[in-house]
Amino acid sequence: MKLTKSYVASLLLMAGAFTACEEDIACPPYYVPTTMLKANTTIADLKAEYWDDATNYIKQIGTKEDGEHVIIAGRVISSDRTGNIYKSIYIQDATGALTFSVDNGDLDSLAQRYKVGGEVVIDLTDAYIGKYAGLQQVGSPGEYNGTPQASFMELEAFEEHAHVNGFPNLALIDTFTTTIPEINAIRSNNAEKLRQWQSQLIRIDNVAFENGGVAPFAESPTVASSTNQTLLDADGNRIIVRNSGYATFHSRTLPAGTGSVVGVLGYYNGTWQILLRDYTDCIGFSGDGGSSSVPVAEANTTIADLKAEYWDDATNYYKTVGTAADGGDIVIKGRVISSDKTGNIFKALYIQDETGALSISIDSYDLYKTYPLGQEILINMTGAGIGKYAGLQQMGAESEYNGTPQTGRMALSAFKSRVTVVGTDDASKVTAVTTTIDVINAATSAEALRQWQNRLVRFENVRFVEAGQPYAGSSNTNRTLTDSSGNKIIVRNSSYATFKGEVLPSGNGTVTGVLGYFNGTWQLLLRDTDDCQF
Amino acid sequence: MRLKLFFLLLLSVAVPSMARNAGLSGTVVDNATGSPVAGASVMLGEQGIYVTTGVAGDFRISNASAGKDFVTVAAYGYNDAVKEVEIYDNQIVELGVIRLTASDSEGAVFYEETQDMVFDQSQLEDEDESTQAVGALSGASDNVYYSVASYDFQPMYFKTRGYNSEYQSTYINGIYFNDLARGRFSYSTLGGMTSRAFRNRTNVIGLGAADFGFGDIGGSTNFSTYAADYAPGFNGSVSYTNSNYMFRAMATYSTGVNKHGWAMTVSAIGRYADEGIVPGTFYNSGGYFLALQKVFNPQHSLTLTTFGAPTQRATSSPVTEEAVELADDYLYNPNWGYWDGEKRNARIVETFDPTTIINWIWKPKNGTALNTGAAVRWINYSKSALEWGGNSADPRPDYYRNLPSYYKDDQQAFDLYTDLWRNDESMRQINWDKMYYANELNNLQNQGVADEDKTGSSYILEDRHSNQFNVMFNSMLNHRINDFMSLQAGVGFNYTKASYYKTVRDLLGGEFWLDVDKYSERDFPDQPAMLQNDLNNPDRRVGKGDRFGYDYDINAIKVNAWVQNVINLPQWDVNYALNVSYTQFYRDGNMRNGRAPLNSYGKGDTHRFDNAGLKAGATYKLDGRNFFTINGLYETRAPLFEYAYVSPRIKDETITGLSSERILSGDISYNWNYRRFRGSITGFWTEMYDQTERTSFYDEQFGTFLNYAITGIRKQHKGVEIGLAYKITPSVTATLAGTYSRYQYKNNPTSIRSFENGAQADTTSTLYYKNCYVSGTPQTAVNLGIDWAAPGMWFFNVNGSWMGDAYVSAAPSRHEVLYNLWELYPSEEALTQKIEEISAQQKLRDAFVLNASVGKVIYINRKVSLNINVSVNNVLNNRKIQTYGYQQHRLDSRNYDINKYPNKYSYAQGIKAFVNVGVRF
Repeated sequence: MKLTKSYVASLLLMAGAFTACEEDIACPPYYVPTTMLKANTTIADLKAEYWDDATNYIKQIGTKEDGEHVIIAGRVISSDRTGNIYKSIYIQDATGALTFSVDNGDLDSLAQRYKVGGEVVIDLTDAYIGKYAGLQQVGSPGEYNGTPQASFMELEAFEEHAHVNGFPNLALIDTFTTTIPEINAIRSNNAEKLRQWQSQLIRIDNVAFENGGVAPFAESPTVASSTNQTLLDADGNRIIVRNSGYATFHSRTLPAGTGSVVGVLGYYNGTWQILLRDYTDCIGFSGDGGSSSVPVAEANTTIADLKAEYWDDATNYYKTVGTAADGGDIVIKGRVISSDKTGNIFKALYIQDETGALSISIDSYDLYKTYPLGQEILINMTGAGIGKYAGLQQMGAESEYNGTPQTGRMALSAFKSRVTVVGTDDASKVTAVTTTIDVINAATSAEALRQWQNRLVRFENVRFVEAGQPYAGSSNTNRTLTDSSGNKIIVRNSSYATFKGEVLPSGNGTVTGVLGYFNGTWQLLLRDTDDCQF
Repeated sequence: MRLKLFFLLLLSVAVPSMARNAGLSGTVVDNATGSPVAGASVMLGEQGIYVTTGVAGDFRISNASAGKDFVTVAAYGYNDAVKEVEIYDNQIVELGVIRLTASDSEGAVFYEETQDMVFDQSQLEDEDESTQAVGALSGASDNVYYSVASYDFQPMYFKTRGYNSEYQSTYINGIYFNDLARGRFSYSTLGGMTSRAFRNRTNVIGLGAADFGFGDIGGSTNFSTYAADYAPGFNGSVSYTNSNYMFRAMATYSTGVNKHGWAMTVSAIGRYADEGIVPGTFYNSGGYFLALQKVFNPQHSLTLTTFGAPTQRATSSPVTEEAVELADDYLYNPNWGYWDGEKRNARIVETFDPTTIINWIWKPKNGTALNTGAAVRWINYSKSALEWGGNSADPRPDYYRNLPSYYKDDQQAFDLYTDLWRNDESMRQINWDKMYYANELNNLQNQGVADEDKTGSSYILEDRHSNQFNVMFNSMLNHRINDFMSLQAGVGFNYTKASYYKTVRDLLGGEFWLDVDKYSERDFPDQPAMLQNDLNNPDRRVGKGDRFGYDYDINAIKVNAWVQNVINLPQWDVNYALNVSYTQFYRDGNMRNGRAPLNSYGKGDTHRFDNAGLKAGATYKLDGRNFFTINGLYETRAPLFEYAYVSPRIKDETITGLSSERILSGDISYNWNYRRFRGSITGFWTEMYDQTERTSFYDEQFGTFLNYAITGIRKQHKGVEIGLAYKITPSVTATLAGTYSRYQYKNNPTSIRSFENGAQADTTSTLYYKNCYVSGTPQTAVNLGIDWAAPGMWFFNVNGSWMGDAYVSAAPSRHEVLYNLWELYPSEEALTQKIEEISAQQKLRDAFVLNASVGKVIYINRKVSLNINVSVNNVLNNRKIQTYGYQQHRLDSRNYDINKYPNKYSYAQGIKAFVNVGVRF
């Protein structure tokens, strides 16, 4: 029996040993793409070597001096996951940041593979680098109106050059804290600073959105594909935050109060723009709503002084407004004296202060909706364009005609970003200067031109020569206003005016309008038929 | 070369070299089943000479002295048999057959009836693709563990030692009957007649020695249908159960051997259910059995056996937990729908395996028997299924897009679907009307259209056939060399022609079916050749009964020879055996498939395999009550041809590196038999190398069937088994049986993924399977039971089983490197955690089942007896028993959400009752 027991015991022991070891089920190893490529060039050096001051250009990247391929490595700092940044990847290394313009079509976002914080090693030999509207970026040759520029590169081409290396690590990304004035101070002729800051990931503290708590990040894409919002600091300095109507967060309301904003620095034709990755890039906003809590910069010059300082006798010219003597921005204040509601005035806005009047050529309809008659506005003129179009001095975008620079229509968003609305519109405060036709016809000197161009004037005791005929025909029509002395002035009516088919009043009356000027000829522009009181 | 020497060596021992020649010989069999009782002790009382019967139940004593004596034959579980004998010099007295009756024979009857019905039920799932076959051994009555394992662990389809049924060998009259396609013996072949017509059987457990073959690691069974061995009389029974079938009637009549030497046994069975316990299933089965034997003289007899059981049954399928919960029925069956006011099931299985066997038994002298047999069998198996064109909506009600979970991001849709599923039965069952309507629309559009532009059915019902024609031959020798040694040897031959094809079962109202591959149609719109299933007959239109889709045969031959030596000494029993075999097979395609035009039609390469196996065992008998056994086996096995081809429906290509698998197995056990207390403890360890598995599924991402062939698999089965029986009183016995085991994959095999639509080339990858569990059987189980043989011929049994550690079948797609997963989980920690989640292998629910049964035997007179059995399984109505589960192969490759394609499970029914009334006279 004892023997039996020991046999049994040993068997049980053996049996126990059989089953004692129970290991865990195998897991397949994880896979994350890696690469053996090593960087041999810094972003700063690359940008410098392939820099050109032109606003648009394209160059092909060759090899290094020793024949090796040019290889950079950096971490991704942008994401197109929300759709706010589109078809671009921004990459940063210790020396700088660079944008890659990549057309990924309708496929998954680039951020699926190229994640924020992920390292990418990029072989740039045979890739193209250049500029698009002033932003230096890697892309492929494109062109705009005959000028070569850096446009989108194919996704396959990018994936061939760019190699993901390991898991993303957000901790290894640098965010550069800066201020709005520091960015705005970078002029378009400071190549080194441009290279340093373009595409970089920045953070600005103590800022507020002008439309914070009120407007959405961006209009719906059916209205506009992108919306520029304005970010203001405590001193009223402003910078654009450009949001896409296709961003998943576009309909969210801009945060109210003051906080910090993080984003990548884009650059477009001389203007800096911050691009958010997601609405969460607006950090720690608290306090009261938008612009009311932020002191608004005051006007520091008059329209007359501005017009005088940036006058040129040429019929067509374009000048960029600089800074004030103290280095700050030049700001004017004026009240809107025109309305394009009837369509007679078209893609133009007229403002005047006590000293003079200025018109702004804006590429947008229905300006009256945003800037109604009687609305007082502040305009930050620094960096904006002032010039002449066929002799009329106006604010506008840089344009040219047969090689001659002139002012053309500026984008509404560009205008808006410069404008601060003051108070509510008050049409009663719009004042017209009563004068006579001969006074206007006699205004030929530079000073007189400046004094009367764009001004709201009133003529009394005048009559229409073409009384009884419609305001305008099938094309823009010049009508004649004459006074008792036989002096004549043109009243130019648009064939698109809602009142075009109405009949010019007969007899004597009072006519009010803004004074336009075209190649030596004065033209009165009516806002609507109420401007003719007969 | 070595083989020949070995044979010679063995045969040389057979040369009779007896010094003295006085004694006796005989064969000891079980009175009830006719199966030999091995290891019985035969003692010549006066002279004190003692031998043990061999595996064939035969014994010889040749060193006796002349004179009168009495011989006692004793074996555990049987009443002793005592015979007076007279011994003469130079003569071995042939005592013939000595029958031992089981010591509780009435109890045995009771258990037989009960266990028979359980056995029968479990075989019904045998052929379904989703469940693995269960080849239960109807346990040797003296092994407590195996008796319990065979019956009481059935609810969760327990597999002894975790082996698939291809590792259990089944013989009929000495002829090996496992098929060459999947290595299995389908018990449904026997048509449910296992308890009567096929009641004579010998079971060898595990690696023990058998007298009819080399044996197998999972044990082997030999059914014996020699009409002469059946106890004469009539046996009839009528049963009711609430299971797959409801009614069963069976009748058997045996004549026994008449004075002219003829014996006959005839049996018939019918099983029927209009609707089984699972909704929408029906069962119709009939079976016949005839055994004829002519005993010419004590040396020669000839037997003929023929049987078959045509069966038609409607089936169910595993479903997701969501579907079960919405249908509020664990037995929810998505395979049926209302048609013409009746439940119509789309997945009907039809089987019929008519078999005929002839045996010639020759006993040239005492102690030598040669059994030569030949058999012919047709296996007819078809399963119906819905088929639809590429542009038609998936008609399966539990298709994942028809379930609310698909709409989880749209609250309104989710609520709508949930409401429909819960309240509208037609939502969760097949909509036959819709399919007929779609076909009707096609017919309408066909009116006035030129013949070549007509549209066939959008939906049909097809039958998928897996048929076989087998010719088997076997010759087996059993020779007693001397008092202590016997020799068994045999040769076997199997020729098989397997045919795989599908036919149109029902056009569902349409005019014809266009035979093209619907998945290729979408992927290769400009390559009409690609989508042809048979380039020899492109764009064929088929009708009811026509073959289409795929049509190929596999021709196989297997030849084997084995030899075994069994030595029975007073304190030692030793056996060793050797088996060699040759297997070959080749594919013969009857269609030239468009995706493999050069490699599908006609005879393919022949694949040949040479295999051998060696096994040995020893038992040390400490005393009459305690013995220790150790067994070992090493063998190689040829691949089974159904698993050897990558995409046999499309092309003749075997999986790369097709090779035999190797098995190394050993077990060690201690057995004890005391008057009141007996039992055994066994430890086993088996290593399997170079195994192959094949699986196919429809992959939505690629829009085609994918065939996965996994090679180089290594598995390990190890565990402990324990079985105890304790007689509390002479009529009350308590039994405890249990196993604690681990059946696991032990390496990371290679998988080859092949696209059936030919859209991409085959890809190879590593599967990280190491330590994954073998699925489909509980790996831990324990049963406690009480038997009471009460006065008045009443029998009671109560037992409870706890079964656990059963795992779902792992899906290969979850165990590969996922190259895009990092994009969603871009940190090492998150990625590792997600990979763990994806590759986890879920456990089935642990189950506790309580069973009770009662039986009564009534002797109407000395000849006629009536037995009534009532059995209730799962008395506690445990509805949550998951019998089988699998991970879906589809993986959400967009978001890797493992709940998008959740596991599917089959459930056991609740209370299952058997009521059986039988009569014998």
